[in-house]
Amino acid sequence: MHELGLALRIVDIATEHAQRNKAGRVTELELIVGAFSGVMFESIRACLEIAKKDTLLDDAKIVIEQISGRGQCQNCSADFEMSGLEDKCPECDGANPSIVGGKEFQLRSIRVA
Amino acid sequence: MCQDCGCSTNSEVRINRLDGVTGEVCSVNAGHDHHDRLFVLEQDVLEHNDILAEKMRGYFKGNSIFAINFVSSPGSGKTTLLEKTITGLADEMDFYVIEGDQQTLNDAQRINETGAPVVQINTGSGCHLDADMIHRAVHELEVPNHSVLMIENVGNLVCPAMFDLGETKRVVIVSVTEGEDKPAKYPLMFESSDLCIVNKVDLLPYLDFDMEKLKNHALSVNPDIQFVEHSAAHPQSEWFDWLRCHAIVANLSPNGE
Repeated sequence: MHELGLALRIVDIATEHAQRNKAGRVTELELIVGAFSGVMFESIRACLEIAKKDTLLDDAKIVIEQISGRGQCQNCSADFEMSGLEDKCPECDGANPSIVGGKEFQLRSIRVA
Repeated sequence: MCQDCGCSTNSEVRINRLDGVTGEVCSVNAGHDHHDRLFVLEQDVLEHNDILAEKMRGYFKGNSIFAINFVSSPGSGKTTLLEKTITGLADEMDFYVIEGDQQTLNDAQRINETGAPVVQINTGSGCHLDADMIHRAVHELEVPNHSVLMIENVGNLVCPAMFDLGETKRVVIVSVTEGEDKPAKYPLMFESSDLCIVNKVDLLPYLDFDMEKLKNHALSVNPDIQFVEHSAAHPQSEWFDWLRCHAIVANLSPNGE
């Protein structure tokens, strides 16, 4: 039940920021989940709906942006989208690109009232 | 303040920015209640864990502690490997062990038989160890300078990949009975590991296992990963040599003694 623990952590972070800024409730929460972050997109949404109950986020709209994996070829410097960590460069077939995107798991913003 | 690693338990401390609040952006976007305020946080959800992990990493380095995070699926032979390592290298290194399982003290009891100091973390329903647990365990174990700290993570090839423990090296163990496509099935774990121990190689004559395929799968997600082949049934110098080499590097004092 991994994503539930992460969801609880997100609720804690959002609550802390809301309280620090003397807000009574969180109306919207925006999350970024990268394809290589290890976080299951569907699961984190479902767990957030559970975790936010009876908190300052009870009515909050959950917005999740999925970020695809991106690599940069170490051979020809091409920048390209990756669906798996083992993907090769589509330009020169080079292996083992640097992972430059897709590992994000970030609470981007909250709206409070 | 913690005297050992400098962690602060003072939750009353506030860090204040001169603009008064954290990351406030005034927003009058249409469609939102005009009393709504938008705060752009851009905060990594695992930031708390990652910051504590880096603190532990600094603590280990500063105290010449070689910390290894052992990860694998359940049943790969992690605990037996640790037992054999401790008994085989007892004259050369001081071992301290943190065991991680959902329930029971079984693995800690096995390690205790070797004479190495050990603590057991029981995560309950948790599926991985995190930096906070390691921080607490290190205090409990009182790990001294110039020792080797072996952390046996919860048997799980998925979740532990996400949680930095502040380790010096991460070692993933795959037994030959698990199939050579394990690295392809669990790429994040292999991508984040420094060494892959291929375990139970004494069983190879009874299996249809392709060692080259396993290594190629792992290299395709991590070109820098190293390999050693190991069997608890027979003496294996490869793993001991890797450990000796990296322990020397980790245990060097600032003066290079």
